[in-house]
Amino acid sequence: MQANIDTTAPLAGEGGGKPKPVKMAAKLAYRNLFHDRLSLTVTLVGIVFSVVLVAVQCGLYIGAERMIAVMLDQSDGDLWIVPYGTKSFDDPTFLMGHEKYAVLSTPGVEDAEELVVNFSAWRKPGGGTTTVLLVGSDHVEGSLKPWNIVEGSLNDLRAPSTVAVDDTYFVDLGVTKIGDTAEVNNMRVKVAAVTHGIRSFTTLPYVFTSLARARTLLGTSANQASYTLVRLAPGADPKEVRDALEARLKDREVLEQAEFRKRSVDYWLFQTGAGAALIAGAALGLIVGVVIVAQTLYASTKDHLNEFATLRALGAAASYVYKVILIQALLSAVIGYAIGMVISLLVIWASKDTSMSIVMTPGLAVLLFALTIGMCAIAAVSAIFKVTRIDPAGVFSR
Amino acid sequence: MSVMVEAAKPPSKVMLEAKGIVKVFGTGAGEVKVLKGIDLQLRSGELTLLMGPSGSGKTTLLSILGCILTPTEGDLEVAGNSTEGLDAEGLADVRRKNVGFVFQGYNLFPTMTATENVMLALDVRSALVVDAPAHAVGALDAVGLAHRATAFPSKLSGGEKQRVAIARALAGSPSVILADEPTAALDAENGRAVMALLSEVAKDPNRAVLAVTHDHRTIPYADRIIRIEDGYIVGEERPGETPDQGSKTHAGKRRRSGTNKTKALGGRYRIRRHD
Repeated sequence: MQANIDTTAPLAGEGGGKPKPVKMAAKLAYRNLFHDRLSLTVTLVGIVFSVVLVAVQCGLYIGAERMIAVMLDQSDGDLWIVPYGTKSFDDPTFLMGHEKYAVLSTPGVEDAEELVVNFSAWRKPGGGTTTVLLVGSDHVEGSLKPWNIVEGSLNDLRAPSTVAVDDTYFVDLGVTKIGDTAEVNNMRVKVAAVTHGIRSFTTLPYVFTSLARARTLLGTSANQASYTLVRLAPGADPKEVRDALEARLKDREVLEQAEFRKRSVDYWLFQTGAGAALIAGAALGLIVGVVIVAQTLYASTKDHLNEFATLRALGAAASYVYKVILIQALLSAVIGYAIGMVISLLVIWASKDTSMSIVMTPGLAVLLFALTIGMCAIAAVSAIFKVTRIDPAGVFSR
Repeated sequence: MSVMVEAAKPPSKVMLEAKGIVKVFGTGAGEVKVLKGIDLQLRSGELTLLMGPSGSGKTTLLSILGCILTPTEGDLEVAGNSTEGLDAEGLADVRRKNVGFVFQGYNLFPTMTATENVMLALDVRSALVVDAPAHAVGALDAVGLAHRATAFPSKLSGGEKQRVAIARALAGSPSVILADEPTAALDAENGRAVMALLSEVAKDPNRAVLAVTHDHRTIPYADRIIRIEDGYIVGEERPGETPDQGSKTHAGKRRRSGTNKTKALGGRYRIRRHD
């Protein structure tokens, strides 16, 4: 009879269950990560900093794009007749006049709407002047009229010399409530409605009024407008109508809604460099994140080099060791992303009543997650490179 | 007075075979020939000690036998698998499937419990098991450490750490166990316990155990001792064997003695009887 130590019990297949692989890589990665709390904290600070910076920069970019296009997105039209060379909605001059009638007599056009938009001097009731963008439109049949009204109503704007302003700009305009008065181009106006959240990218407050009152305040003729918005008849071919309008309206431009929107956004974000600054800020956030995570992950890998060498000596494939490092990076990414998103949402919430629009969309949240994962995966490369040079023979006689 | 009757021992098999192993480090004027033609067989059911002075090539030979280093010349077969021409990943595959290591410094994963250290080895070896934690605790039970299954290495004594390392080496039942100075970091009592355990491990008819050591306290546990000096094997002996007695008989007697010591030291090793 031979005595033998039983090293195989319970054996695979014993107990009636189905034998399955043992999965320990994730646990090892998790333990390595949480073993050194200080190192983990530094890693997470780097990721959180990066996530918040990129979220805010991208949120500002989206917010800026929305602010630039807010009037276009709010209006309902297919084609815009604009003064030749117009760069954006917020860069208005006046059309030559009588465009509305030319438009209405063009085949394929169902309706036309005039908008009078221009810079004006707003004299505050307490003294001082600021520049505003006066927006005159048909509040009854037109598509562009004040929205998000929190005090007063559109009906109140039918009264003489009334305007609507946004509460975001109360301080800039020197008013605080309905009934306050000011002067526009030396003519008295009264605040009859207050909107909320209609912010301007140029930081010049929008002041809404009726079409006729805008013409009076700006001193233009009854046939003149800044833009003529064209709605096509059902079934009309936009290209044919556009060609016909271009033929009839010389020295003006006929733009599709999307085209005018893109022109406005491109002008403010790229020609002025504002967007490039936001994108550069986001890129900087990513780079800083990669550097911090790479540095801490590399240091963590160095700390655990003997363990990785032991894994290799035990027969672990190189891919197994890489998997442990990558899981560490991905765990850091997920935790850092979660904390970063919470802070980003707090920043966005804190900025909701300011003139700065920071927007978080589901798409941006997904993009940020992908960027964070990618950033941490890239950061893991340096650690993986270090591990590839491990000599498993080093585990002997230490 | 009871009489111990030894059953017929199954014939041993060659679990590892090295032929003409030469290892040269460096090139040109800096060339150092560490191993100068080693022929070696490890047979199942045997605990072999590899002894020699510092710089004799013990650890280099162990690294080559464990498929961690490649020899400059010579052939190596582990459990019937030739290692000729294998790259680093191919050698890792041979190690994974056939070799278990016990290190001088234990090399346990400090962030994992004793059970998890064994489970990690099961994972590395791609072992398929029904209940991994139970399997790992079973392996710890086999080395008398089931009661320390949830302890982290920092809470274990040196002897306990080395026993966890042995349980880890046994996970997945490799054909060859290679131990590098397994008692060097231990006191006399723990050193004896670990050697007794390795001696028990070596009794498996499908496993060979080689321990590199310079600790003469380990000699009583050996079935076979190979002496290496200056890159050559200079001697081989089977302790207790006399010219008129078969080595198996003597090895068996000595090993029984080892078993008794093991029981005396721990008394918790789970023993399986093979008839």
